[in-house]
Amino acid sequence: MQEMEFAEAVWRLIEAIFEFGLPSELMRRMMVSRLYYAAYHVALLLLKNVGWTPPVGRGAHGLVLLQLQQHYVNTGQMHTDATNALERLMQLRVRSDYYIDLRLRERDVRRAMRLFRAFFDECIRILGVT
Amino acid sequence: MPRKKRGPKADLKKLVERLVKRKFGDCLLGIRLYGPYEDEDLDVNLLFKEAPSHESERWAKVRQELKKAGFLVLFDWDLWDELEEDEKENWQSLWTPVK
Repeated sequence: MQEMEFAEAVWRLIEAIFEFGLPSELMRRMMVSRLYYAAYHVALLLLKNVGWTPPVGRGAHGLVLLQLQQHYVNTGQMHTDATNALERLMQLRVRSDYYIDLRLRERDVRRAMRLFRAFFDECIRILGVT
Repeated sequence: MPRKKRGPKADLKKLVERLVKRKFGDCLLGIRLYGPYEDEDLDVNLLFKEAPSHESERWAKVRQELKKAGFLVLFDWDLWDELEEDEKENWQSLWTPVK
């Protein structure tokens, strides 16, 4: 599965889950996590296009933000709102994965969806795909 | 690009608190600091009374200063009006009130 196809499939799944009613907290945590990783893979695709690959065996999430800034935001190709959205989505994902004593609400998932869309739509524009 | 790691975590917490109070003091109700869990240096969740005006410019300045200091700090925030009733009643157990 390719990155864009994966991201679209995740988005459709998240939307479909809401159509069945309010998801459980465990499901909400999974939804936020899936949205983040879908965005992360699209970010990696963008960076692969400029010749950057993440280092093996090290945390690459922070590096991805820095590299997007360097290769796309600083060169005027990507709006800074998109990397800010990815950063907020990353923080929500960290919270949903590690901070299990803090309730993750429906609005947090809705926010993750808005942040995903803000980042993903900018990537679609940059990559010129529909 | 390797990131600099400076000083103890307590210093970073102070720096973050100082920055967000300086940039968002007019609309900031509470702050919650946690982590780090992965390769970030700190996770921050803020509670705003209302959406800050000129938000992008303010965030740019906060991020710029933290980047200059060599830290990756992840921010997210909530708005008071969007909290559920139980959160509004117990917000001081979730966020540390800003004085």
